Amino acid sequence: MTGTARRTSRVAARLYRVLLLAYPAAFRREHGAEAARVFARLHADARGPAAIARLWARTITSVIPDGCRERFEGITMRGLRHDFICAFRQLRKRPAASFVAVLIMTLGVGATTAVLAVVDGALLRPLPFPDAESVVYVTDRQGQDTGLPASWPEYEDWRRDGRVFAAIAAFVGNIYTLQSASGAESLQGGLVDGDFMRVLGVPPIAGRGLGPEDPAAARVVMVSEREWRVRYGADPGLVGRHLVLNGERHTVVGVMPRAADLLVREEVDVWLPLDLPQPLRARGFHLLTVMARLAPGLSVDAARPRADALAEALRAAGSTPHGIDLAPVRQTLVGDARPLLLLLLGAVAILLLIVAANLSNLFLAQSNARAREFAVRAALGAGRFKLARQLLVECLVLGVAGGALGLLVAHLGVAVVADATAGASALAPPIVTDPRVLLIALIVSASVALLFGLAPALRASAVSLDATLRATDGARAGGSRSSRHHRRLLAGVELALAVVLLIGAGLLVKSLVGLMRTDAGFRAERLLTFSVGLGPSYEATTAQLAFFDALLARLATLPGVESASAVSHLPLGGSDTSGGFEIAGRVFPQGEAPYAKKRIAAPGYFDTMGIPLVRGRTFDDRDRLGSRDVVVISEAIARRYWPGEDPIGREIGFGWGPGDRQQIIGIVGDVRHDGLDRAVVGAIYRPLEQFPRRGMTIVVRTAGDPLAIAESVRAEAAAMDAAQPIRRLAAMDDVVRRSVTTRETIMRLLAGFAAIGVVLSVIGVYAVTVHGVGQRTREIGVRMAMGARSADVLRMVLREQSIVIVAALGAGLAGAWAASDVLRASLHEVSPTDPQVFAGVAVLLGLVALAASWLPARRAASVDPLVALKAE
Amino acid sequence: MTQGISGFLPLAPRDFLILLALADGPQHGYGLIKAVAAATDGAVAMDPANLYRALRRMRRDGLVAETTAPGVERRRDYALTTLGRRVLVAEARRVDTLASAARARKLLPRGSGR
Repeated sequence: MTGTARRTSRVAARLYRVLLLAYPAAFRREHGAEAARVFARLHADARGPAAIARLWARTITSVIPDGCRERFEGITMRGLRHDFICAFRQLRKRPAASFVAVLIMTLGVGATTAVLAVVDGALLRPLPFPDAESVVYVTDRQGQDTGLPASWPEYEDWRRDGRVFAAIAAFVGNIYTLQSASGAESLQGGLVDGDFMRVLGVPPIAGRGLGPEDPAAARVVMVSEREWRVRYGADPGLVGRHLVLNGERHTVVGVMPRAADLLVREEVDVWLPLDLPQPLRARGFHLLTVMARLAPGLSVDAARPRADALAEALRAAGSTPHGIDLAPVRQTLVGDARPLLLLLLGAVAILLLIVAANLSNLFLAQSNARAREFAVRAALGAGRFKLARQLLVECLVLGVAGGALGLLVAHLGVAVVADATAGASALAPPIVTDPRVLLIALIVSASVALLFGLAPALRASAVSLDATLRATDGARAGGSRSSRHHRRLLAGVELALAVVLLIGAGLLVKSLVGLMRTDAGFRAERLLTFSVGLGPSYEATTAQLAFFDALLARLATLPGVESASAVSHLPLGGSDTSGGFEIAGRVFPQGEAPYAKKRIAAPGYFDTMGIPLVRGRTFDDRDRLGSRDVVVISEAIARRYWPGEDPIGREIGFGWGPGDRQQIIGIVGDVRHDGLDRAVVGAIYRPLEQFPRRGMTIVVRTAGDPLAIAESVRAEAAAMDAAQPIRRLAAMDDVVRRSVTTRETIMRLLAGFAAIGVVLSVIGVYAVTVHGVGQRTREIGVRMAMGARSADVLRMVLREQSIVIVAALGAGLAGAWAASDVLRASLHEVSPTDPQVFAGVAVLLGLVALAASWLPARRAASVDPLVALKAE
Repeated sequence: MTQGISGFLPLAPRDFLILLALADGPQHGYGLIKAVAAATDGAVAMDPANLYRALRRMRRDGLVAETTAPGVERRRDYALTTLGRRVLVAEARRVDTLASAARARKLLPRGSGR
């Protein structure tokens, strides 16, 4: 061999050794040198650059995968199985600790998965209609107010313009009475006009869909998928049969897919063509939900300028002064729940971190106690990697067990979270077993397990053989100084995170308490409400009036009833009508036209509801059909349009006919109609006598528990006319509570998370103190033997602990401060940096953490120096 | 022992080739690679590390044994054990049976292939 060749093969051998790193160290030790020598000879044998290139190509593609295979086999074949057996044995040896670890893990994974499933359903999963991104709600904009229902003429204008929408449809909900062999029953009807099926984009389940070709007056009906399955057992022969709705025969033409409910945001039982009565087609009636599918290839953002241009053109043509808003379906459906969901997600992430830190702490304590075991095994030849792997496998076993139980918890808990976000969850019911959710849950539990397992594993495997084996006391031996610092750090982190969670929960509680104390403008207690929708036999307005007069009179005489009245739209009840009105003799600039919520009320309504009369009078017997048209306005309207003047006696145009002028006779207090957290919008009331209607909500003020007389109220209504079923019988208190359900449940959840976080972190602080004190038994004994009193020892331990506690509280407060932006959207009239809450949480957690330190410290201080020293 | 032998069958082709190369007598790593290459007309070129991996496994299974080559420092030779030889023969017989069956169906020319 020439000198050059020898050098070349030495280089080849060295390169080959580098490649051999793919093999496990044990293999390299045994065969590495020899394999490299053989390779050098093969290399020397290769003649010519082509042969050398072939050799290297072959070698690289062989060595690396083979090496990995060797590693893998080493693990799977013997090592890993052994590790698992060992892990189970170890975990069984410490049942209490293992149980606690699994429990903590279960809570963490359970909470996380439940929240994830809901978030997935609401924000990530595709909507049930094709190309849902191009489906929008088309709403009215009047000045500052956006998202208002459209009027019929506006809808017609929009439909005529073909540039923005490929298909457009209008929807109105109405109650229908279904006559069947078993009697009368009220159903939720959905009345649609236009291209509803094309907007929806989902074909009918059976039969055909309603379309523009169906004359409005046609007696055809589509049954909802839900109704079809539940009531008709998914009978395909239903199409072509007849239903008697509101006393008239309707032909069933098809079955409406479930997705339609989502689109109109109502659980509809039967779908019919919309035949809007002529008076309701006036410009003043804003009662249509309009939805559309954008022209092909048009995004919502690109459509907005076109919609604005259309609004401008309509304005110029003098048909309507209002703007047009487009709202994507998902945004509208998820709505308010979005910030709350994200808030929950953040909270659950923090909780998970606390869980990981807590488990890490637990494991660190155990691995300290097991330091001798590891030292012995290391001495017997177990490598560092092997020891670490053993611990990691133990964590993994705990993690998987906890994760599996966590999924179970999530499955049960998801309903709670879903309830909290009812609107968003209706969108797509959360499914824990959704593969995506399962995958995330799996990743979450595995990473938590590795996270809490890694630190102890590295520490244990780095244990100093010498020092550990020489030390006589196992516990002492394991508790190195750095381990103690490590554990205090973890406890501190837990405490800081708990501070953040508790502040979040505290702010939400304060916000909700404030909200519940908000003056809704009426007195909700001892109030019973229900709604009545009169059927076709009450076509005549005189019949409608007669019915309500008689019903209210009967109710008023019931024992336990103080008064009874009726209104068209119950505050916080979910339904609403609003629109523009005119003020005689005044002209308003474009965009500032007067605008109000519009209500019809029976005499005695304001008294019964407890809405205060501010000035003038409310409706009474003088206000009849044919006498002077009158209205009552609320304070906000008076303030806004007659500042510093007396509006009583002034005339306005309510806009619903008949007669175009109404005189203001009184001013009443404002009512928070849309929600306790919403701004007040002024309302104008007309008397039922002068504007009769079929659908009213009855309100009954009772002397005692309103639900106690619910049955007699129902009986009374049935005695009037059994064919007119009543709906939504509820105590007003419950109506109010339901309006804050989302907030309340999110608050409860967050409070629950915070409670778990606090308990875990306090356990962490306690455990660290116990451990720290235990390690220093000898030192404490010496100190006391030297004359230290137990108070001195107590002070010493507490001083050390309070450094950690104060630092953790500081970090937690800073963290909560930093997170305040996230919370702001979910709070009502509470600052996200509310000093009261911040201070309260800091003091509370500080005291609890100190108490958790004090207990073990006191025990340490009461130790008998003699015993302590003997323990060595 | 015979039952032990059947547990090894069928042998991986590479293991068979290694055992075959050892049938003539102890060999070291380099020699084995060369012998296997020669037996297969260069079709099978083994990587040294992979060879040692196979040898290590077969040593644990008792098919080959390690012997130190006299006079050669730090070089390990490998030799067939009795078990290894039996397994090799059993595998050859198994392959032969299959080949005979193939010949009987005229898939292989008679008398060739060995």
